[in-house]
Amino acid sequence: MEQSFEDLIRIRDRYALEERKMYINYATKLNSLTDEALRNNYVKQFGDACLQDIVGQMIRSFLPSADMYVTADQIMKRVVTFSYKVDYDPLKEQGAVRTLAYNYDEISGIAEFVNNPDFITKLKLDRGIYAGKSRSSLSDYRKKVLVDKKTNTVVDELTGYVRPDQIQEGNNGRTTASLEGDHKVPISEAAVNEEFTRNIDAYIAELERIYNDKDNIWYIDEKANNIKGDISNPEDVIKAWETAKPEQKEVLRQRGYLDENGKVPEHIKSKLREGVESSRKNINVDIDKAQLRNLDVRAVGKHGLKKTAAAIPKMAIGQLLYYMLPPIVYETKCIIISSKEKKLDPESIVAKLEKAVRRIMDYTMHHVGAMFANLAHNTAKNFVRTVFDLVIALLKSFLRHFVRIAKTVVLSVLDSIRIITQENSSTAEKADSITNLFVLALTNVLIEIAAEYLELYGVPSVVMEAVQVLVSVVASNMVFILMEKLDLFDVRYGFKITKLEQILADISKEYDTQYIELRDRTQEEIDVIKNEIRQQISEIQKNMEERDFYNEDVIEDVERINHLFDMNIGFQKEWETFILSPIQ
Amino acid sequence: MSIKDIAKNTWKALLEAPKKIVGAVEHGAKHFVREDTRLQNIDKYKDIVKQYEQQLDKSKEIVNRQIRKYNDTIPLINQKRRADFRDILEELYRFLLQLGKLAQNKWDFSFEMTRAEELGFLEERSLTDYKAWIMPYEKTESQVFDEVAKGLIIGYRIENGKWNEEIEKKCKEIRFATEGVQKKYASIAQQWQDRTFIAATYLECIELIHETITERIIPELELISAFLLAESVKNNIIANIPIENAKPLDISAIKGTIYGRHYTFVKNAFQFYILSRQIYQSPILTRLTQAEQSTSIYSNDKLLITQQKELLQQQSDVLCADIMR
Repeated sequence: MEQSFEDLIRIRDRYALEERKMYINYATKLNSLTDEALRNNYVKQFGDACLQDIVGQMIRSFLPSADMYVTADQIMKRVVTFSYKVDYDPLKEQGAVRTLAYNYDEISGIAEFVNNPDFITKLKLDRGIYAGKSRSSLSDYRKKVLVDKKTNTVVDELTGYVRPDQIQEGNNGRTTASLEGDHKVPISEAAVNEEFTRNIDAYIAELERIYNDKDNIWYIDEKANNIKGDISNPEDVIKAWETAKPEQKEVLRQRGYLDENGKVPEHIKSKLREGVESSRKNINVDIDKAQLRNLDVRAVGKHGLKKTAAAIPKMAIGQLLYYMLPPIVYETKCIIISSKEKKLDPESIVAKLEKAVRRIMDYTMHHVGAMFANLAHNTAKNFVRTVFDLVIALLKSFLRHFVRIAKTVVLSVLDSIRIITQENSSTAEKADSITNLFVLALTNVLIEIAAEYLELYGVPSVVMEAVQVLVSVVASNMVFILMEKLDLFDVRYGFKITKLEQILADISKEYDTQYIELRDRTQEEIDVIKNEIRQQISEIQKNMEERDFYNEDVIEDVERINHLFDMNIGFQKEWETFILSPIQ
Repeated sequence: MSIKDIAKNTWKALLEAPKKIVGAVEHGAKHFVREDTRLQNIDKYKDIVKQYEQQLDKSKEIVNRQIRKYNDTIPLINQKRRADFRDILEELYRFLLQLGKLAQNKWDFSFEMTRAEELGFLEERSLTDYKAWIMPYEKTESQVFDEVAKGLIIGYRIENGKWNEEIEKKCKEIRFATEGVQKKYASIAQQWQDRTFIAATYLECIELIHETITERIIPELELISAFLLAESVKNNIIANIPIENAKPLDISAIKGTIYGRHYTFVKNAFQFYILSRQIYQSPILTRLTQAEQSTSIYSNDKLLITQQKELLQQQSDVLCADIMR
């Protein structure tokens, strides 16, 4: 059947329809891809990050690899996923920021070093004028215990027991009074770390002043004080009173220090404990301040260097392991697999080995620069850590927490410097990592400090450690995710927009290609039809000119025209109607 | 410059300084809450919508050009049909009437239709939609100040971030739609080009037919008429029938005889008559190209979009079910 214009139109219409469908398909695809690119799957990110970190933290807590400055799980991942083309290098990755922050608060084992008994000297300090008996002219005594000047009535600071002050001359020439001044934190505890303190005489004088401060003195019954002696621990004091000789216990009972059952009453117990504890806290602060003022910085530095130098071999091993282990494992895997597959003989295996070794050496040499940079950086960090840890170990009060925070900040600064000098990220990305680093590190150290306080309530430390790991990880990840959301430097926003551009470019290209293919294909079909029709027309034209109408029926030609233009003429029927009727 | 001038200038600079500092702080704050990015994006969006509009205009012009070409051909066709074909119809009719049964010579002429030029149709709706879409994202200075003053700086920053993403996404959508528009109207222009080809060919054909009839059929008619009459008279004389009422010879009778060639000619003339009549009466071209059906192509768009929407709904339901699991 010859072609007609209807065919032409049909093909063209069909093409228009297909083209429309194609557009709608691609527009829909564009839509869903952009939606996906913009979607933030925080929940999944959070879960994944937490899991990864918990594993890492467990290893960190129970495997002492912090000194090597690469964690075991990082090495694991690097080794397992290594290939020359795809090289997982956590030392370069941004996500490693989190792991860095976790590592800052680690104490490097220097504490035991500081508490080396060789360094510490116990002191015998002068008890000062507050203790002992002479008191009537002392304003402090008068303020605290004197109730009635006229009758010389005094109140016992521990029991609250009021009675007149009795001064007696003892048989050994000692004068005793009802109340005696007692150091809450015993002065016999005073000690100095000669290694790390300078101006020792001035320091000792400080200590004297601190221990004999009126806030560290209270006035208690002379008998009780006698029995107590130099015991400082409240629990031991209570025991001493409760297990005293019977006649002494009688006196204590009279003076209110024991009840009828021979036990120390609750209110005295708690006052005792609180008093000693709060005084100890205050004293520690003052001692720490004195220590810091008289810190022998040179000694601290010297020891820090010594320890760091000792750590360098370990760090170097860490670096070598980090760079050489993965390719070794990878090459071994390849050789084993290929020797199994191809059933190689020993000679070819050896040849492969030679090539493998060469590749490994090439790879390692390529990264020597990175190794030395890492080593230098890690040495600096080790030194900072050691020095700060020394100072932290020397302090006893909450002041040491400030030093911990300072240590975290300094270590963050060191790592920030490294991040800034790395070439492979944009400024916004660097600013981003640095901010994350500081925020995370501070979060972490604050959580550790909080954990310490919790520990004072008597939770076993093993449990505490696990809890702390979990809380640390969860909090850090939440902070991390929040930082991502805040996106303070618009890094993630920038990534998203770039992704959108990419998607549009890809889809446009695909759409264009498909469209052109469809259009050209259709055009070919249509051209064929057009040519065929033109041919028909010229044939008809020829016939119209040449046919002998007396001898040739033009039915063929008019039918062609009929079909071509879809005229719906029934020539046969019309003719029959015409001739079969009688002539009028 | 006198000291007075120097003092004056210094005083002026001092007064300016706070403004500059405030300006710098403001600039920094604006950047932090992503205000400036949003304003940039709004400008970018408006640019892209303008480009979309320009593409629409361009495409409209391309299609209209083709339509004009088509429309130019139609009057020629109509003219030919109306005037010239009428004449030959009458001649052929007179001839054929003597020889067989014909319907009455009431031929109703109908015009071949032109196509009006098109306006921005479906796309105009989308254009207004696009223009309106950006409006909620444009906030006045005072609204911005209110937000920031409330102290919800971080929240506002996050909001702006979301808005920026949405605007970017819409920009991509419109850019893609611009390409789609260009291609869609390219194919529509092609359709009109095809129709012009058909029209030109039709004109060629009817000119050919007219020429053939005029030059090769009609001149013969009188001769054949006369011949057939003469034969009839001859036969009447032979059969002794009065010749006054002689009619031309029955056509079917002479088929197959030595006068068969007249039969053929009459048949051809008849076929040409029928053809011409159809050309005269029927708007063949219009029916063929469906020129008066204005919504055939566009209605398909609506259908397609509805189908696509249903398909997407199905897909999203399946995905939701997956996530639940």
